[in-house]
Amino acid sequence: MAVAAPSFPDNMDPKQRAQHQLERLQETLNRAYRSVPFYQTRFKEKKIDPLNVGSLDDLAQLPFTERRHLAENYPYGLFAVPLRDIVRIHTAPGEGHAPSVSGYTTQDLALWNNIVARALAAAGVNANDIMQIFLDPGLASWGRGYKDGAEALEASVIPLTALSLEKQQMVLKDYKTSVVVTTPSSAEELCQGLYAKGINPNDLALRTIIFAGEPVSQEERRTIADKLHVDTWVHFGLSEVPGPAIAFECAAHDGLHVSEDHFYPEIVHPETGKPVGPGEEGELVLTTLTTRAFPLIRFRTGDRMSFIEEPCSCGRTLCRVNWHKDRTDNIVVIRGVKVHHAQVMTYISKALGFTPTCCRLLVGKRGDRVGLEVWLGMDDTIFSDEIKELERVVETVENALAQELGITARVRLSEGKVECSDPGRREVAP
Amino acid sequence: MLQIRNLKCYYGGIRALSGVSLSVSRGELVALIGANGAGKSTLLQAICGLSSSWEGEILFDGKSLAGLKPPAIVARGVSMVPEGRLIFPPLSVLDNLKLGAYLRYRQRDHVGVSQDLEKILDLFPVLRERSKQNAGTLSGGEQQMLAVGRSLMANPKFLLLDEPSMGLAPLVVRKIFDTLVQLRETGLTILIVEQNAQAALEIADRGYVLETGRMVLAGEASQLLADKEVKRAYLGKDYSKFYEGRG
Amino acid sequence: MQAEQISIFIENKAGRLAEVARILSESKVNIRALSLADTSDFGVLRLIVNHTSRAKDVLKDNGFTVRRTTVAAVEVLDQPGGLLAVLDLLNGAGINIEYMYAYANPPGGNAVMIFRFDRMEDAIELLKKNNMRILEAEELSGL
Repeated sequence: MAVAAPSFPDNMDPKQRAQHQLERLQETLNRAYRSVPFYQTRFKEKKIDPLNVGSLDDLAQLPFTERRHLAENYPYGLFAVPLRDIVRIHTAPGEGHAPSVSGYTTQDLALWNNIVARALAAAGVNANDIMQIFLDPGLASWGRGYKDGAEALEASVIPLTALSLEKQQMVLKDYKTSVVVTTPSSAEELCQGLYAKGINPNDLALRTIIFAGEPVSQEERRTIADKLHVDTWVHFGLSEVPGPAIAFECAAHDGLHVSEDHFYPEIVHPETGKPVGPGEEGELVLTTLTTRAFPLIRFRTGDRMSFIEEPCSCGRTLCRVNWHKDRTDNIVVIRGVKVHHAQVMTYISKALGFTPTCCRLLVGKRGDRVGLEVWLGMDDTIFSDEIKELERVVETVENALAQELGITARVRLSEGKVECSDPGRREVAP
Repeated sequence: MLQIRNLKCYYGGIRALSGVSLSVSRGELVALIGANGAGKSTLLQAICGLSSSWEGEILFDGKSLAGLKPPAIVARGVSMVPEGRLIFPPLSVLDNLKLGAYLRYRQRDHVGVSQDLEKILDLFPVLRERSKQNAGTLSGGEQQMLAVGRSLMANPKFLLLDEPSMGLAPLVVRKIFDTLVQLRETGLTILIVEQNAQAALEIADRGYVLETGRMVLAGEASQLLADKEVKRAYLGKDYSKFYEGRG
Repeated sequence: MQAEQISIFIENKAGRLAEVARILSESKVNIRALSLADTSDFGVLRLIVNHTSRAKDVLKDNGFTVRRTTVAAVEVLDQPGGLLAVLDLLNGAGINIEYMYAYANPPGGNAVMIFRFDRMEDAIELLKKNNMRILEAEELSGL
């Protein structure tokens, strides 16, 4: 039976926690440097010895790890333990040609149980609950994380399955689901579906919705909470180190607490890479402190966040962040699934046999369903004076994207150049 | 109780410890494991003031130990059982024990010393039996008990042990380690440095793994005992076995 | 023997057609024939103009995607069965029409149809052999 690195008490004296964080950080750096050529090379290039990281602030000397690095080291290049020790492998859509693959040792899996259970417990989930997981197939690995975490709390779990919306509604009603884990977009659909069927929320046992995968505005939350008579809770996660519930809301519903005994958070200015001032918005950068198979050093999440300086009324001393809707990178989040510009360009090029000049990604709707909207800028290679040729381009790309990304994509053709997100992402020297 | 941050130690011009951080809370029994030459003893020596060429921070009860000589550190409540016991063979067992309390004699704490002496002789009945014998005539296990007893005579809050199992039969090791558990239950805080990772982790609350001067792993003792990496490197499992049939 | 046409990609939204017309008018380009094929999202505007190169350049300068295509301008007798005669000929030879549209205000009383065939050369040869009149490029744009 594997035992995970323990979480420290949520209300631990921050100074004491900092000592533990430093110890865990140094161990992580030493292991990464010793066992992962990628990190060793990068540290050496910058003439940085992980041993120079003598304080948590010194971490800022180290280079960032970006999503493209995960793709470049496909599949197992960033693993820090022998494959023999890996017991689970997850794949997340990557940036560029290859997906990002992450591995887990038995300890890592136990660790995720603890992390997710901690976040669920903060939302009041307990053994009396029946929890239904309703996420897109693209978030299947999170589905597993939530299942394991809820089981650790002895809640009854209805795991993620490929059920239609209608069946999900049936399960929700008949099985007396009390907690739903879903994305804001899926929650919205569920809500509309229930109303369309004339199901009164009072007929449901539902009392809690946990939003995963994407940030949610106060209005969206209020709408869903009012319509379904539920409390809503926000969780933040990463699909790369799957990943759910790295940061979670407490009963105060005022920002998200970061499980900083396992992930060290920094918020940096997206262009300069320098730490932002107190309370200022920037890009969240995470360093794993306890994962064994897949350490990530200063991973740029692309999520826009800001630290909340004031202590939380709930008594937890785990630091708090506000999660903002816009991102700092070229990623569009569709129903919790991260879609990267460069990756979409790659799929489009592959499907068409040539690379179009530009494309722009937006969150769009097809009927009631939220999906990806790709605006392809018209250029001489795509253009034909025959409508059927153009329609074929649209269809080809739509099919390819649906297949590769697992989400519905609508392709629109646009006159001339579209406002292109820059595919070659900034590289900021730390 | 003990907080070490970013400790760097030099040993004859070679860096033996490269930025090590470690902490021990009051009442904990913590094991520091690692191969020979990993820097474990160097770390203990730095805590005890036996090595002066270190950088970083060592805080005991929130106060720095930097620049303090060994007696001052003992006076703070830190006592070490050195590697190889370092008892005085020609002296009697009793005198060896009393030597451990030399600071307290200077403070005229004679009553306290005699009380502690009784406690220690209760803890190690074999030492009472042999109290008049020369320490040199004791078996290895008995000598180790004597060394532990001598350290306890300083009435420490924090006990450091450097390879207490070295050269001892498994049964004797268990006996000594059982005593350590007993001592922890009386409220003593203990840091034990061991190559015998299995034995140390079995009694410890938490453990640290040191590798060529760098900390590579830490966690609950049960977590480390179950850890494949620790098992391969320190718990005597043949590394190659794990790779059989894996090309 | 083939006429030249320009095709322009436009999004299906208000004012785009007017924008093209405005740009051409400002450059003193006269539109001689026009067809618009569209879907709910976008359309392709095909034009025969008096100054093909100039039209292409100014539209490109204004950010449009423009292509020159060769088409055949065929005179069709202005009487019942006039078009049918042409279509029958092509059909018999297995030539497909990609698209066709009528020329505005042709000279000489007869109708002129603009055709794009899948096999342009074969089609033109066939039509000529059967004494159909095909207008020259200069003839068209100079009208």
